[in-house]
Amino acid sequence: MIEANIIVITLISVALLISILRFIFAEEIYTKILATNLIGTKIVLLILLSGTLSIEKDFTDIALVYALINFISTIVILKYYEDKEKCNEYD
Amino acid sequence: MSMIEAILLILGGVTALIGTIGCFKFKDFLSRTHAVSVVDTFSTLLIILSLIIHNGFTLLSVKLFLILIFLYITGSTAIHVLTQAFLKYSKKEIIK
Amino acid sequence: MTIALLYILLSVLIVISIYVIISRNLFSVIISTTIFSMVCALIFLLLDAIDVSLTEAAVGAGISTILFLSTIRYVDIIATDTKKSTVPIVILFFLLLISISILIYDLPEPGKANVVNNSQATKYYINNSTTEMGVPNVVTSVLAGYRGFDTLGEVIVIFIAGISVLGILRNTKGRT
Repeated sequence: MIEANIIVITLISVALLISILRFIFAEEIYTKILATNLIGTKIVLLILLSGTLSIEKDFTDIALVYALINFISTIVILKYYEDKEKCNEYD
Repeated sequence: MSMIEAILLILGGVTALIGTIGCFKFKDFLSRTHAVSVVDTFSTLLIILSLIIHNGFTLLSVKLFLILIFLYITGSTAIHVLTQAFLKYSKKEIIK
Repeated sequence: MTIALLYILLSVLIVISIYVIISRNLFSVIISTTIFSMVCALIFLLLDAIDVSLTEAAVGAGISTILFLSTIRYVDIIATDTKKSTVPIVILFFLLLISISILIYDLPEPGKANVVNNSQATKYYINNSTTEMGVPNVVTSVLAGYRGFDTLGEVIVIFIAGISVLGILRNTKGRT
């Protein structure tokens, strides 16, 4: 079980680096918000998996709080677009 | 029992990598949302299922199950709201 | 394994900071600070400080983003592309980096037992914290038990800051 942990953490870290690249080389603003949501989900998974590296440690409460905050920040970024025609100047 | 958990974990990791490479390689915004939703639903299901099997029938498994349900509901809602904003306010031409 | 993961996350932090300096788009800079806080909270978790990571997640990724975006929408800032170059800022950044590296090189090693700042108080905390306070994590017992009054003062300051910001960002249309 411990060896599978190390392989999965490596795979998800590589996926995190690729999504950071997607965030930097994005043309539109909507792709950046999508990449933010993706990075938040990956960090929730990394929090859950780093609790299994050492025995008798569980980080499930922190993962739940993190999922909440990721959702709220994505919705707030999109609430900026409500009834506003000037937002396309930032593209 | 530990073989099933290991296989589920590694499959979850490979799915996350495939979804992210898909998001990197697609050329259109609306295609990239498909790749991101794969990561949001399928990869989290495999990884959290493996952790539930590892822990047995305790309070920790109930908490993990609640995290899974919460990620399902909020992940899909966030991408839906993002797509609505894109269709309403974007300047690009959408090929029908 | 934790050390390798820490190195990867720190390199992500460096890449995002360089992007914040170089980028010209105001909106994407705000979203970059959100990602920065998320990765910082994960680093704090790997270094065994759980309360600090919860606070960083709530304040950095939650409140900061909301405040910055509300400010932009309230004030109607239009970010235009200026003609000034970024070369002075980059030179200043490298000077700051070199001076801070020289400072950090002179600090004592963390975790060594016979260093000046690791003397009586740290030994007392490590030896007696689990039996006196009953909390298994030493960082939490120091924050909430031995230094409880400092935490109380911090909570009062953050509460005052939150109330004053709410007072500034109120919607005053349609009220007499």
